[in-house]
Formats: sequence, structure tokens, C-alpha cells
Amino acid sequence: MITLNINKKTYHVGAEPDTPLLWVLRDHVGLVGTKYGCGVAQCGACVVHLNGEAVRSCVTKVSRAEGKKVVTIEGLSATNTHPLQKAWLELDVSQCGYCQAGQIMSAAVLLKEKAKPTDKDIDDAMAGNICRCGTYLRIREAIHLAAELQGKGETK
Amino acid sequence: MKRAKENPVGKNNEYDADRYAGVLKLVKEKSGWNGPEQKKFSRGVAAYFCHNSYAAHVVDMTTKEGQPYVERVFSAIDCGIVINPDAATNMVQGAVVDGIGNSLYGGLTHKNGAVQENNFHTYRIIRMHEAPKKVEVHFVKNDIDPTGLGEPPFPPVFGAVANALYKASGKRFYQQPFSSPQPEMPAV
Repeated sequence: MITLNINKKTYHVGAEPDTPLLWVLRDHVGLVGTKYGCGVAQCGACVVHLNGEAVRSCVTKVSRAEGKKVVTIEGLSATNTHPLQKAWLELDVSQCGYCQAGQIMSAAVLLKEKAKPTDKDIDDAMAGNICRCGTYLRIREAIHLAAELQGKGETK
Repeated sequence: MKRAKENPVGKNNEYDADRYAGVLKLVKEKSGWNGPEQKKFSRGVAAYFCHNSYAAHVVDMTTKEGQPYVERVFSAIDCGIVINPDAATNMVQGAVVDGIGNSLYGGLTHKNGAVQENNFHTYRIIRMHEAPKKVEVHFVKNDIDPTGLGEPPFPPVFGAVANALYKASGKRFYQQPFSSPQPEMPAV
């Protein structure tokens, strides 16, 4: 039995310690907002926060998450009003949407570290998230907009 | 134009030469083709017809860290009435971004009948820093019933990128992905 803190809730799951965190999130806990993309840390669809840092849950053993705070896309905001979520809606960023949870989770770490990210900051922070629909332009625009909303104090 | 109307290219090709030329004229106007911008970038243009829609792009290429980089794109699309302009624009922007990635990086090779690039560590997809900063999309306004928009803006990106590379290097690129070494073309 492994005890996990996910989105401020405690879960006890019967998983082997080397099970990927992504499997536990999706199959044991039922939080399916985090997506399986490549399984080899190349696409970024499975990004979640581990003590505030972006990790690829497909290659993170669940044992590494023990005693740490896990935040998934479902836990980013209790009311779905995180500045990034507002900006994403405002600019209609998504097409198929599959990569977008990972995109938002990567962007959330960037915004926490840099209140006003430059294009270069966005290039660096988002290089690990791929989008086959090619929505990069709008992701960039939405991150800038979210930074603005965050600056105005429109927080979750 | 007369020849284009009387002898359309290909069998069963039911394109309307006026609409085909229409997207080229629109993209010429919006991109300021032949204007001062021509000097700042290696520019390439291409147009395409499929799914009863017409698409043309002008790509403005520079180099970034020694590699070809498409910095800006102008697109003109005739797909009849556009129901949701914002979503339609997003689709065209996406086709352009993915088209650039495919044309420059997206190679697939086979060995014993199996694709060798079996995940994203070997199959390269365009990423944030490689995508253009701006893709300006213009739709031809008419009252024709809506036609396809998923595919039509995608293939002409390859032609426009290849033409920009020709402008930049003086070499013709026929084998995608263009960023890989190109095979020697047989002399004609």
C-alpha cells in the first residue's frame, strides 16, 4: 500500500513501488485528465506537479511521489479559474485537446517561476511539450495573457 | 488563365481556376509580395486544391542557429462560407505549423517492412521554439457552401517551404524531410 497526496486529498493505493505515477493516477485513482502520450518522456502530455515541479508522470515511479504533493490538471484550480485556464478559454487554444493538460501544467510552473515570461522563456519552458494540432502560437499568446491576468491579481 | 481553364492539370480535377488564382492574389496582396519584405526573408509561395477548397501560403524564412526557420506565414483560404472564423483560423494555423514540421523534420524510414521511427525520440515533431511567431490567415469572402478545411491548408506548406529553401540556397528540395541530406537529383 502506498499513500499519496494528490490534489490535497489522501489516497491509499495498492500499487508496486515502480509503477509509473501516470498509471496510478489514471487507473488506480481515476484522474484521467493527465494523458498517456509516448511513455518515454518525449511529449509532455503526462506532466504533473510534484512538490511544485513539473515531472513527466509516465517515467516517474510512484514511490518517488510518496510523501510529496502531487497536483494534476484536475487540482490546478478548484473552480477551473486558474489564469491559464481563463486565458486558454479566452483564446480558444485547444483543437483536439490531447496535449493541452500537459501544456497547461508546464506553463503553470513557468508562470510561478516567472511572472512575466518572455518569448524566450516560453520557448525554453515549453520545449518538452509537443502539439500535433500545431497550436503553439495560441499557447504562447495564452501564456502571455495568463501572465497579465495573474498580474492583475485574478488568481484562483 | 485561359489555358488553366481549358486544360486543367490532372484528370477529373474539377477546380475553379478563378478561385485557385483568387487565393494566390489574396496572399500576394496580404503578404506584400514583391515589396520590401522580400529582402528581409527568403520567401516561398505555393497553392493547392483539394476537398473542394483552395489554399495558398507565403512563408518567410530566416535562419535560427544555422537552421532554416520559418518566422512568419501568410495564408489565403477559399473554403466557401466560414461558419466559425476563430476555430477555422486556428485550424489553418495548426496546418501551417505541422506542415513546417513535417516538411523540415518529419522523416519515416522502413526496415523489413517496419517503420523505424516508433516514438518521438526518433520521430521529430515541430516544437514551440521551431514554430513561427505569426501565421496570418485570410479567408476569401463569398457565399459558396462550406467545403473542407482540415486537409487543404496542409500540403501547400511543403511547397512553400521548399520554394523558400530554394530562394535561400539556390537548391531545389524534392525529398521530404528537407532538413535531412537531399539525394542527388538525376540530370534532366
